[in-house]
Amino acid sequence: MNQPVFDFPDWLPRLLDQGISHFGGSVNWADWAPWLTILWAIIVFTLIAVVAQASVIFMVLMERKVLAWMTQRKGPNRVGPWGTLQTLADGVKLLFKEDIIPKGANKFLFTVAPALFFLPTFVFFGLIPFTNQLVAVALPAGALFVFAISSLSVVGLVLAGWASNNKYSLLGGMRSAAQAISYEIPLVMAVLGVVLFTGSMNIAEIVKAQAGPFWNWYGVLLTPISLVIFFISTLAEVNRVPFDLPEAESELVSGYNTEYSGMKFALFFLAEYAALFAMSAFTVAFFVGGYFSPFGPFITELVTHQPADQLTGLSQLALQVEMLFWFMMKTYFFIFLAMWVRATLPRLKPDQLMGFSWKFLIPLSIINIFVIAIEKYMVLPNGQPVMASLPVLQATTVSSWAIWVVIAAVVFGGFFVLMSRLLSEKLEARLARR
Amino acid sequence: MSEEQKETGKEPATKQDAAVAVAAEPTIPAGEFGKALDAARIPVRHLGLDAGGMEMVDIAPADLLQAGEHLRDKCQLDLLLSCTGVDWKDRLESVYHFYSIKTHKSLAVKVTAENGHSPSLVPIWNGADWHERESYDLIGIHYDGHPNLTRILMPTDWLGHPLRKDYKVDDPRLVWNER
Amino acid sequence: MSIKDIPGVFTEQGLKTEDLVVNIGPQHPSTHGVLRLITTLNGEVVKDMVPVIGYLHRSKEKMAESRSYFQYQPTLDRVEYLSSFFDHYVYVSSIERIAKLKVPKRVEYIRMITMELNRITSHLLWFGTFLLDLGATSPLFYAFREREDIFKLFEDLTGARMMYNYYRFGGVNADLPPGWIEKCRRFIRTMPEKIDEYEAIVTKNPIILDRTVGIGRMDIETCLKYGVTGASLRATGIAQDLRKTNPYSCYNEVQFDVPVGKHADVYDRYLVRMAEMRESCKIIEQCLDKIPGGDTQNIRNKQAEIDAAKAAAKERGEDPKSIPDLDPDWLTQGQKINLMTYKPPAGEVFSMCESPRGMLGCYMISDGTPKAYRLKWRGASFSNLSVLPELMIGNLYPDLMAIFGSLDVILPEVDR
Repeated sequence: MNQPVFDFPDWLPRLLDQGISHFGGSVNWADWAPWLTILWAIIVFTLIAVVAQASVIFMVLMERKVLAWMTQRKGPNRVGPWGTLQTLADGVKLLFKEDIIPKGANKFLFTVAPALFFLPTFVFFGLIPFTNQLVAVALPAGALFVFAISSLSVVGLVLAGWASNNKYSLLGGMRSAAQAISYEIPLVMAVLGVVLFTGSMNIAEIVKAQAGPFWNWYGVLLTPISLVIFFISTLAEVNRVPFDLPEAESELVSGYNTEYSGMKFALFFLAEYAALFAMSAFTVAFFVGGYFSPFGPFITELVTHQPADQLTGLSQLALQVEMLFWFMMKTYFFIFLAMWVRATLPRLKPDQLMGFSWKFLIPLSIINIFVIAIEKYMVLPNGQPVMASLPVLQATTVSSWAIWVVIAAVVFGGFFVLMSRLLSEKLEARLARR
Repeated sequence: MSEEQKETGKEPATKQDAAVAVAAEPTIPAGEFGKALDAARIPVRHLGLDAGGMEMVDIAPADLLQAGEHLRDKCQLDLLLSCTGVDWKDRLESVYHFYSIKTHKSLAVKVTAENGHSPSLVPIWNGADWHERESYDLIGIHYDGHPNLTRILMPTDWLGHPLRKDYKVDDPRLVWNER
Repeated sequence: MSIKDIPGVFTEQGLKTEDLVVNIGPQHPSTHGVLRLITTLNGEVVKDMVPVIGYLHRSKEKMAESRSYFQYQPTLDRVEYLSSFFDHYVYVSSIERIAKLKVPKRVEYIRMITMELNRITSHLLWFGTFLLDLGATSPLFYAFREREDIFKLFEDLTGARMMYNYYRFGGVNADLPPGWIEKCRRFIRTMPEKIDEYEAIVTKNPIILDRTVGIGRMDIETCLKYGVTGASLRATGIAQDLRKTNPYSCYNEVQFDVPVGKHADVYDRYLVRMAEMRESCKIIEQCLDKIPGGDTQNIRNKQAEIDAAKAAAKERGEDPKSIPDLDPDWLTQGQKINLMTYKPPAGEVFSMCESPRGMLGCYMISDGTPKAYRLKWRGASFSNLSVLPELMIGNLYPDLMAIFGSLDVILPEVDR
């Protein structure tokens, strides 16, 4: 796939032509193409930065509200209607706070650490395909780049812990390094399966390969295990409960960000939520079909009775908005899931954490890769690949779909019952063994 | 149930005085643990029962450790509930309360400190550690044989023993806010 | 030149490491009070732990010597704010034993009901904070929802949500409000399913099991040597509960079991406390059914009847004394006492009760004056805390939260 890294949509030069001809000039866009790509990248990046900031601000409030509703409380509801201005108020408060640098802390590293933690997260946002055109940079090796960059934020964490001249922070920093290393591997191996299916590491391509209704999405039918592994590793990478050991509030009094106050603390805080948003967006892009609608055809397509690639002007805009809508819905579903998990589960101990990753998740992801390889490359005796000739993908009448729904319910239900039986046996054995 | 009045706490000088003293005061009958200690030939003074029906005995400091071992091993008083220091105006006294998990009975043992010193029961019950430190801290009884007899509730550089009756509150030697 | 030649990096035993001395507390979100633990850590393993207490010492015992018996009572709630009824009970029963005061049966039942409700609130708070230390933030709010209901009941009864000051020598301050028994019964009927709700999220949770099963094992000898009592002792298998072994108040008239554990680890202590909550519900139901006199409205009606009958007898010219008075067991005060100048006779007593944390004791020496001569509180948390270094040394640092939480230590009781 020799696709140029930066690409701009066709309507961009046309739009600019209209503006320029108004002033009586004309431009040969073939010569100016590189500048257009840069212009387009800048436009999208700016848009995404704004969207990301707004998301983060919304997410802080959403987390407080969701946690409150799950514990029979109301959450913030005084500042602004339904508490919507709460995060703004918190941000302003943090801005006004005194910026304390502890005596004995390494001033340079102390100041640089939050930025180092924050920047890689914002680099991600350029890679997320929000819609088929709204992607700032469609790197051919996007998936690889994402995980390479995400390791940089761990450096920021460890630096923050060490530069604070505080034993609690040091412990938090050390723990976070160990945790991040352990959970990078299942994270990448889960994505490896998806890359195998697509044949490309370009994230926009991976999304496009999942075009169609929900059974085409990788995480629904083809590799749900990968989705689960990826989601769990995401929680670990973003330091969220049950993996929030680095900032374990009851043990370490806030861990690596104990000594931070004011805007630096706000940077850590916001970066954590931005990372959660970015990771949820990647979950959606890799596994849940990105911006495609679960029914198959887009609502805009149904309304205008035209296929997506022939829409122009306002209907194209409506299509983009709809794609963005689907993408955001799915992303916020995963964010909600992360918050739900936070309200429910206690924290893992360090040895439990490491054990879970090295002894369970990594072997599981290795087995998963084999299964995916079999799914993709195994061919039936008549030459057809297995997955393409799955009967469920060829069902057309309602009755055959109904049969498949029943079969799916039975299979998944049986699987669920079996897992819970196994789990309670394991628990009984654990209790009896002590 | 009788309460012993203020006693002198001095050992009788001669055997004759002892006999006279014993004959003079009404004899208090020995309770169950008192009888067991008598049978083991450990000198105790029986003090009857307190208002709640708990038996009380008085043991001299020299016999305390031996009595403690006997109480734990033979009388099954395996739980040391607390050690209290009491400042009677002319003497300092430690009161130990024991409880038996097996027989659900309890005993109070009073030990008058000689010159402010008393043997420590830490070799027999580890729980006496913190209780005796508190008694030392607040009343001022020294427990010989205690592994770490330091102040536990008051700050380590406090002067004086607060629960004594002659303790002066607002001692000007202790100025806190200048620290 | 290999890595082994770099000075200061390798010792004879291998890679050179340093022990980290960390101060946990006194200001810390999880030490249940103001406690300082000077911990020496080697990585995540605790090599030494020295608790420093005394930050919350308020000289409660000295205060008793300069206040009259009744003046001292309001401060009793604060000796240990979670079990204020129990502190009140041992104090008041000490005086009642020294002075041989008569206590009507209704008073004993009211005391039992309030003490068991207090046990439930204390265990609910323990449950919420124990899980909060382990990282689960939601159960705290569910536990506090029930505490709110119990506080409403207490507010109707005593006027205060937390610091009650309700017991008096030989009685209680005021009778139950009319209808209180019915309200209490309605609440207690819903309690067991709420306890099921709490257990549903915790008892089979694999993360909780991994963090608590087999951790912090305390064998019987350690318990007895250090004087540990309460749920921690019952988790070792010994059914030691003062309400059964040395019954006080009217506990020998109600039926309940004493839950015991088997393995004496953190998980068993958790199970024992959850079971104790259920037993408390049973006790309260029985007391509400058996309370002499029933609802207060009943007693007031009876009193009005007797008064009317006596007035009628007087008009007829008969002796009003021939009409029997109200059953003395139905009163809320045994005998009339002038509380401000009350002087119990000289005596001493060590009275105990089973508080949510263990055996709570009050050693009182009175010398016939209106002020106590010596008052000593034997708090269960004091002995329970002294066993912490023994349990922690050699274990991992994150286990500290589970172990310390399961010991259920409340610092005001330790420091007084």
